[in-house]
Amino acid sequence: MSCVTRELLLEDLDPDQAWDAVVDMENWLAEEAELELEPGAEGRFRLDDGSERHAKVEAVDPGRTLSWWWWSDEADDRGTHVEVRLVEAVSGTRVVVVESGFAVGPVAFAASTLLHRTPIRA
Amino acid sequence: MHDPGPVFAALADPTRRAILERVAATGDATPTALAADLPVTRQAVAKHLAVLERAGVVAGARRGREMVYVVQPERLDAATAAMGRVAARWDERLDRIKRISEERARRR
Repeated sequence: MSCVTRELLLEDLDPDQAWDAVVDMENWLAEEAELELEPGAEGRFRLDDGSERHAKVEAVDPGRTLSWWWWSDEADDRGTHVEVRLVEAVSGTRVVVVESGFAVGPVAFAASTLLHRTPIRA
Repeated sequence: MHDPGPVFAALADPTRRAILERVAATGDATPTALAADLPVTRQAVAKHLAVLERAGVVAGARRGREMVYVVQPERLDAATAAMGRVAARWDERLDRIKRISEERARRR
């Protein structure tokens, strides 16, 4: 329930061409995108409605996956996670967007990655 | 408009979702009756109901010695509508990426 998934087929585009389109974020996602596409990089977006969002890049896998966290300055905004996945299809490339974590935020995310990286000792 | 965050946070827990489903199915429910249906104690049910009440998805009223809970659908509806708006924005963005990238591909 706290997750939105949308997808669309980009016809006649291979995943690399689709990737070039995805990383050109000012063309489709935001008026301004000040964000280096490097895992861990932090930056900001100005969206087409004028609102601003901070962002932190999670994963960059050219031709396959781009994911980030983003959140606004509003005190009660816990932020959400966005994953853009490219899937090769017969007649093009499918772009799958999953925005999730409408209840948890970067803090919970950081805690979960920490837990996953730390070996559990009995 | 209310921030749907607390609603999603309250519903992130599977036990709370099960409790909410039962409250919705019975119309009104007491912690005792819910605990009889679920593998949790009455105290645990009462705590979960308190979280759901703070998020505004159920409302409790005292009846005799027990609390009785009913579903408050407005917050749930608002949360669903908020998700619909998020989906609509992604559809617009994906339409944009499709238009731009396919146009670019045709020029190649």
